[in-house]
Amino acid sequence: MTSMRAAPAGAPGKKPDILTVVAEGMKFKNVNELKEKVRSTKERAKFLDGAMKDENLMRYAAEKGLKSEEVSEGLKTLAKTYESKESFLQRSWNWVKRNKWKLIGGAALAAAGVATYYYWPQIAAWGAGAVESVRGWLANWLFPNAPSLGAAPSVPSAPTIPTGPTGLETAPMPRIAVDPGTLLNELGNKP
Amino acid sequence: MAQKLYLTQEEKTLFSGLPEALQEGWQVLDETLKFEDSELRRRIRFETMNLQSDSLKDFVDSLANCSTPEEVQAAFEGMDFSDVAQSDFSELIFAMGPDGAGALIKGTLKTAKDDDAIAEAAELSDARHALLESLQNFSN
Repeated sequence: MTSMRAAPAGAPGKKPDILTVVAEGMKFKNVNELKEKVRSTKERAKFLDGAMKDENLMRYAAEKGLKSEEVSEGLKTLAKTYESKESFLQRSWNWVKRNKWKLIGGAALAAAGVATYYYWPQIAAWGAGAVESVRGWLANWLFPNAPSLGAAPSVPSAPTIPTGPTGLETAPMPRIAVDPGTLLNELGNKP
Repeated sequence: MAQKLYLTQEEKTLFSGLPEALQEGWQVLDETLKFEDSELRRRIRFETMNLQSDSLKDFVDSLANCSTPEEVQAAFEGMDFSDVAQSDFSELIFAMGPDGAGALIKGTLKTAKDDDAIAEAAELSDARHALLESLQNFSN
């Protein structure tokens, strides 16, 4: 399993990343090791309980500018996220298999939206205009039939889905026409 | 048996505004489950994404190395979804969360012109319903 790269570093003066601080405070090699521990442990509640009583961790977190409540909240959220994800992945398997190609457009949208939301602070740090430039281009790329939101270089043609073992026929990738402003706001794409 | 759509009040209004022919044959149920999302919860859902497709992993990793808007745009333009794994769809929907799924549902209903579009909205609403059920542990 390859996990996602850790969050980009925040700007100076900003609060440190909670997971990074917890991983360092608990002497994990990196955030991925911490996540894997929480994901895989059969005794998640016990691990969590121990972490929240770890005085060394809380002392370290305080040195980094985090309150113990913030650390606890981060740990609880991480544990609950893995619990809910396990439940969701079991429930979602059937609809994924049924409608893979129909949802490919949505997956592209989700990937773009999620990734862009995640890196918004990084993009915002590039200066005034950067966010609007990316946001405008992204809106036009995702929603070629919608009114332009801003600077938009030529939109690339939609990638195709090749014929393969799944039996999918070659077809332009479907695009879900969504109001760009609504979607981008709901995905949290705000600088 | 009619396929179900789990819709919020706003979405039900959108659906009822569609031509009658499109509304026929679907069972509309109220989506009553709630989940209060937050920046921390979204951020951690994203951090726990486990993508199998090399193209998606490379794409998200490449964003971390971008330093200009033009590089971000180039990263998007280079995306290739031909090898997206089925499990990646679930990962992406989970990371996006119920609000994002809701935006997709609303957009699909707003522009629906045939049964395929309604079917897409139904599948998305089913996914969102499963997502909301799974996230109820945050209320405990």
